[in-house]
Amino acid sequence: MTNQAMQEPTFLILTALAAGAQHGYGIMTDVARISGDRVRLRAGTLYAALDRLRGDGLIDADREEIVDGRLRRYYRLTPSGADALAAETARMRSNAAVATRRLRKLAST
Amino acid sequence: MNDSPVLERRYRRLLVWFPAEHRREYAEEMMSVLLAATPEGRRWPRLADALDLMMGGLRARLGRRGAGLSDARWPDALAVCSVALPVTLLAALAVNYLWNLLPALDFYGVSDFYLPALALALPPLIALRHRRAAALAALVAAAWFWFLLLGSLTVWIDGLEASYCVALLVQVIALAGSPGPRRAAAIMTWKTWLVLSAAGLTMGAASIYYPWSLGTWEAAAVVFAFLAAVGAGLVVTLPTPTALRLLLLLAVPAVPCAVWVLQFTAAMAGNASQDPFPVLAFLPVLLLACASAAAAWQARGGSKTA
Repeated sequence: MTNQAMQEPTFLILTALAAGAQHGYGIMTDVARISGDRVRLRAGTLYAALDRLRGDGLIDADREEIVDGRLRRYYRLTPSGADALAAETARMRSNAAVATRRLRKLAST
Repeated sequence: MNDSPVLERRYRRLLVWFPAEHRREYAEEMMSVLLAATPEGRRWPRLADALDLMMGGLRARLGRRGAGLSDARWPDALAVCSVALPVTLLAALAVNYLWNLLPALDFYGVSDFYLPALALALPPLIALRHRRAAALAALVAAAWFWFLLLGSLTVWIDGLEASYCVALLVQVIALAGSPGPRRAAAIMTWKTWLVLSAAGLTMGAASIYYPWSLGTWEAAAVVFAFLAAVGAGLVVTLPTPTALRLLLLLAVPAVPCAVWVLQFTAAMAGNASQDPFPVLAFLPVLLLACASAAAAWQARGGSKTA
């Protein structure tokens, strides 16, 4: 794992899966909900990201089902994925804490 | 959920932008998501979705695991290259030849095509049975061409001649360092043959009909569009790792040729005198050749230890 900051879509996909296994369309709608409709993933971006995250071992296929004759594959967070999300959350929290402290100081001067 | 079969067919066409391995794994799922996210009654993909699929497909092709340029996929790329160069040039030659058969028409420089085209075409045919002999024949053909070229030089080698020179050299390397054209035939699909033939036919037609009155920027756009179309065609019709390596190999002769077209266009338009071919134009050729050779050598070592 590198020390580079995680890209926002990756962070949001992992956050969506932290609630439990979800299929592609479920992840898409959950990401929109989490980000307050600011980030809307489309299929091309979503599946390029899912393929990369699977390759990196951060998520894995959970189960498959056929609904209305169409394939639905559910994805879940792996332990490595949970660790990566926790590390990114801690990094963002730490940055946010510094920014908050400095803004308070700026406001009080 | 939109169940329109027309829409589904159109989305499936867009999925071709993704590599075959990706489609095998995700195409059905992606169709479910795309149709679920498209309102009822719509028959055409949304523009944003179409662009997203194209960009996602390109990212998947360029960034795919194992699609780096340093693993042991060079023999396949070299094998395809040993066929791609002669097929393209022979198609160009065919157009020129047929054009020359027409009476009262003459085109300066048409014969430039014949010699290198034949020199490129014969060795792969020999290679179908005797690969080493073919590599040697390619080397002899290259040496012969260089000898004739150097003997006729009065001022300076031009970009087209430089392009043939390096094409012949690449052909020698391709035949010597690959399993040969039989392997290429196993990798290439009819679509790959079509892309290469179309590229050659376009080059042949351009040598007759090319509008030399074009401005430099317009000419650059035309050349770039042609190279991009051929590159995209090869990436779509070949396995991605092979296609990327092939593009690197084909870029070696393509760069001086492209520079020559632009230089000649500028000269014809009166924007510049037809100066000697700029020495700097050889720099990318040299860099590309070094990078290809280094990567191929590294891959050779890697495949031995694997």
